[in-house]
Amino acid sequence: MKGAFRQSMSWLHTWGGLTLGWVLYFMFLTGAVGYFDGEITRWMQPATPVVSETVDQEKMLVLAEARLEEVASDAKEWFVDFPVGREYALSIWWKEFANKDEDGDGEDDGVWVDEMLDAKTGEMVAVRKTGGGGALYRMHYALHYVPRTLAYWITSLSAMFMLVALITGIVIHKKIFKDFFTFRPGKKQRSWLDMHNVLSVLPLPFHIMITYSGLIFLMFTTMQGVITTSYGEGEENRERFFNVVFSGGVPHKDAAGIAADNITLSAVLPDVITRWGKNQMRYIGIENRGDINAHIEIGQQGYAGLDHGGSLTYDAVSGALQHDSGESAEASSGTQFYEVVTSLHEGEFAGSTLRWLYFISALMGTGMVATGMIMWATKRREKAEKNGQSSKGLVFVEQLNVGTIAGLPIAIAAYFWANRLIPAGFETRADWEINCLFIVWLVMLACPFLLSRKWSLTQVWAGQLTLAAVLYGLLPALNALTSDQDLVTTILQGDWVMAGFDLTMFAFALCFGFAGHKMNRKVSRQQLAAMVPSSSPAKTAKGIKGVVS
Amino acid sequence: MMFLSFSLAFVGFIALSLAMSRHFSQMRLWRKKRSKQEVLALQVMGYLYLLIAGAICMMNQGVAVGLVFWLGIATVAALLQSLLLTYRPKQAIIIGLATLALGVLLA
Repeated sequence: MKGAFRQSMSWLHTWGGLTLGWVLYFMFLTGAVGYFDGEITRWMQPATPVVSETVDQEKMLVLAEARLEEVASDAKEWFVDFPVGREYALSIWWKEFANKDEDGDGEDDGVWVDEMLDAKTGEMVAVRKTGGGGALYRMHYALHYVPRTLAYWITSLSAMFMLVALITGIVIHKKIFKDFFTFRPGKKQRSWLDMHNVLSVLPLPFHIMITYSGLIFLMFTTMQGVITTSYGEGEENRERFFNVVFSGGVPHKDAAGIAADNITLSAVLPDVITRWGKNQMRYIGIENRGDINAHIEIGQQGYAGLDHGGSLTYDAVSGALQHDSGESAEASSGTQFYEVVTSLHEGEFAGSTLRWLYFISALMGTGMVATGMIMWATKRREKAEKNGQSSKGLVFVEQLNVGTIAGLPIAIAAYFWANRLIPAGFETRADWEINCLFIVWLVMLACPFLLSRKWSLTQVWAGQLTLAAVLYGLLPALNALTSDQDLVTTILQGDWVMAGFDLTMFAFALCFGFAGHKMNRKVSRQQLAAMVPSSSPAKTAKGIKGVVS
Repeated sequence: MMFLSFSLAFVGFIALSLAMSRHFSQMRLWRKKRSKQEVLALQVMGYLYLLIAGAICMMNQGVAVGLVFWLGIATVAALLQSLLLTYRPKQAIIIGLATLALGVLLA
């Protein structure tokens, strides 16, 4: 019975893992990169007017508000982000009319527009439009080119499979403690399995947390039924549910349609300062501007444990305080659980060291999926070839593996290249950066098929890994050529966000270069093996080894 | 402080791997065999160091963030030890002790 149980779990693990493996690889990699979304955006907008010393927030707010009045006096919503934490510049946001209503709530969806300002003069600083790190981060759960709800279903389903794969993986791993540290290289399948185990078991707490919390994150899409049974169908009832669960006691007021004069943003500052002290804001914004139901919202910088700092809400007509998160009643245990689990997933609270630890664990997860996929295919193909069966389908899987496992990193590098090569003034450049990513990925996916007559799969692996090494290795040079923030300058200035990106790209280039080098050696071994007549296998193997070493 | 925590976790994992016969022989110490008591002592030391590493994280960063930190640190420490066992098994103990010394100095 026990044997049968383990066997069925093993079946579930291998097939469940394979089915959505490519999606999982995509989610793990873009999600890992997403932990550095702000830092990546900073690199992709080298003209960012970085604020490195403390500038008085009261002065910045006056400048920002003047600029908003100038460019967005009609907008219903304004926000000002201060340069604190992982925000590097003073920026303003407003919502323009977009003439579309995709969610069907009868209101214009609007489109957010942002500008960066010089923190001392309040003048607009032109930075190139980019999706930045945020676009990579968003695609790890919302994909791209796919309608949002469908994307959520696909990523949730993948997370579900991932959770199944993790649990079955623990069940079928016979020596989880004995093999805890074990990696034996140079032993083919054995080595792949060792690597798969190490990459899965060492960050297991992370893997379980990230998978489970990913499912929880999207539960309002996947478990809609729970909401509709208690609150009823439709957008209005759904909003009612969210108000109860997440408002934290602040009734979210929609615009009443009655015009009213609003106070300035700066008018509430004296009260904010008495509550939090000077220069403690993360953002300040106003909703329903010009309406009798307008309110001003302010977020506090810093984190208390896993949570964001507090928030304050003021009536924008009378200036009266409506809500202080520090004084509100505790949220329900369900809401608290949701918030803890999702903040663990996002890791917003993490400083730079912990962020790196998150990133490493997530990369190990990426490696876990990759090694699993590689093992699945080679193991079956070798067995099929040994038995003289057709291995066409398995070769197909292996070809997709190359185009995904090596191809996606190349595509991400292409995204960074596009960022610097598409002219800064090009209207739809942000969209085209992303298009470049997917076009390059598609080419990489097609490459093993198109080259299958001339190149062996090992050669395609070697080629793509080397290409990845070249693309990542030259990014710092591209940065030096297309901005005034080359690696030497940024290191001398102590700008570790910018320098860190370049140095990390070098590190990636080294890793891909090493992997490519290994693959190239494998290619030459295979070519030699093909040349030497197969007189005696033992002799051949020895001869080749001699030549190679 | 966080580096001290990392170095303790790292040495903890070295102790735990020394308690395992395959890794003990990989690291090729001056002796070939260990008594049962020594194995037990290594295990106790390993877990104890890991726990101290966790305690440091939580005292330094608060319980919630400290726990997250601890798991992240332990993951990287274990990864480092498994790489050392593969590629530099004989130097593992020296590197571990040097890291611990650095951790104490930096704290």
